Amino acid sequence: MNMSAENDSFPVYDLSINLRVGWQAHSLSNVGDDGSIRLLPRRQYLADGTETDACSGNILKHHHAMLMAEYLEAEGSLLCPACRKRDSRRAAALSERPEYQNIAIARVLNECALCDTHGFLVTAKKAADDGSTEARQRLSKHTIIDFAYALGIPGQHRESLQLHTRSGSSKEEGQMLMRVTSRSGTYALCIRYHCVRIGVDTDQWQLAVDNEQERLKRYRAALRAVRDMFTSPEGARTATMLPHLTELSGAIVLCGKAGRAPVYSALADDYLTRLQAMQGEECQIYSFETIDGFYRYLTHLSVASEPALPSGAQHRRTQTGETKERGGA
Amino acid sequence: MTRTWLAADYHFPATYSCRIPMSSASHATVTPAPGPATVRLALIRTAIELFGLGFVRDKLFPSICSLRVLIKPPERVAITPHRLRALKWESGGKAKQDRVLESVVVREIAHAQGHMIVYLEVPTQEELLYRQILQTIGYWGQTSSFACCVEITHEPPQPGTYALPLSDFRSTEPLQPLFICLLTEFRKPGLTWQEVAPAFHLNQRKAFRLDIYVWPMTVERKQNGSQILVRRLLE
Repeated sequence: MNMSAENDSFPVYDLSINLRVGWQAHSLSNVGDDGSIRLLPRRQYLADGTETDACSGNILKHHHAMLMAEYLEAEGSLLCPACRKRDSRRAAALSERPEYQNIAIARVLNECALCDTHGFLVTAKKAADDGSTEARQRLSKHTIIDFAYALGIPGQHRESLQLHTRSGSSKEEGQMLMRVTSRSGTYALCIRYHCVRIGVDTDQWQLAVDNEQERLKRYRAALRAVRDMFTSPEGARTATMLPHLTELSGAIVLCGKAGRAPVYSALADDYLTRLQAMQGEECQIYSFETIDGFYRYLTHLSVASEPALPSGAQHRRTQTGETKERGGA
Repeated sequence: MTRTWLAADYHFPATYSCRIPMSSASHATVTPAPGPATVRLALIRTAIELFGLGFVRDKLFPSICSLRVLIKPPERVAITPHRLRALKWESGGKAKQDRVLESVVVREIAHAQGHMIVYLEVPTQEELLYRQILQTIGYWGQTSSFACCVEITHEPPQPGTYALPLSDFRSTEPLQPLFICLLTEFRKPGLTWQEVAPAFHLNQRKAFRLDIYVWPMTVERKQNGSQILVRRLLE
């Protein structure tokens, strides 16, 4: 496994990105107004008792899904009717449609690249006593890309209170005053991408999407979306408070065989040293210090690597002598 | 069958959230570390990834159900409630469709300092398998609750350092400063695969029992709904 390899594509089983990002004058993640005229920022206590600024992983994940859907559509990957409309319920939004009643997991995973990557949950339902509604089985897949909360590095974040006006809900109310915080700081963030799980029913650990080209498209779309979400930040209130991006540094950790790519928080000053100390045959570390370094690594990774196959599927293919061309382009 | 203790040290590189069972989905409170049933389910899920469903169901499952699981929490844990936007299912009832409503929910999120240790008393002949599983577990509870196994040793658990069911708590010291919550555990060591295997059967709940657990942690500070927990020995 080597990112500098020119020709051969190398497999990636698991991947993590541990980074520090500098956002100035932003309001990317908030907790609402609490009934007051102040929009409250998100806060998180750290174990040492320090209170720090935070951006929820939910908003990052939502942004990633939106970006990835665009790449998937551009590449001709299938999306389900819900994901085509960017409905965040994904396959669950289809559960009442007659043609999607009690469908198999393999069909969902084959027909929607976004449900496969970001996960979905169709809850179980009992049949009505009068027979008006049928029973429904639970159907789900966990997300295969996870985002931690972005946490402000203690001592490296500040908050300014801005007075804004906004229109009231009716003409009589006129203008209302709102206090909105703009925050600036350096944030630690971790992302993990279980790329081996692309097209896999993770409950039974069976490969449902057997087309390697389709798995590769999904892998590339996910990596490009991760790249874009940091180089072009998105979140709450970006219409008028688009963050000034001033720093992007960290490390991409790749694991080529069964196992986990280590994740280590950039809250710790020595996080790069600790990660680099784990470099070896099972784990490759690529550190970057600038936005262009991050951009180049992820662009190259999306071209030069491919998602590994689950161990069972790999074993079966080796035994039956199947080749990589299976599924076709 | 001879058994040996394995102690797996986990680092929490980011915030995490292991929900207390029975707490409301719209106001989810959390434990400082996962409970014993969460550990067993994580062992099953990860073992399926590594060794395949058949091997886990036929060979490994009985020992996962019967081994002793003890959990030593991290040294310090900060728990903060977060308001989040979420989708809520509303059952449609007779001849009506289900509805999905957007709502504000509260979910507590934890941040830890120091490692959590999971102790397993495993059959000696299966030690290598369990080492591989423990090394591969990458989260506890929610998938975004990242965890990273940093070391596995043969260290046996020291009394007073791990969470205990209230029924096993023999001390006469007052319980009040200690962190206490409900946790789930497998109902009995001899459960069948059909009773436990998640996603295959709807009656999974019957496989678990709820117990009140005492954690070797005290609440050092409470502020604006947040709390800081600090580890100490149970006398």
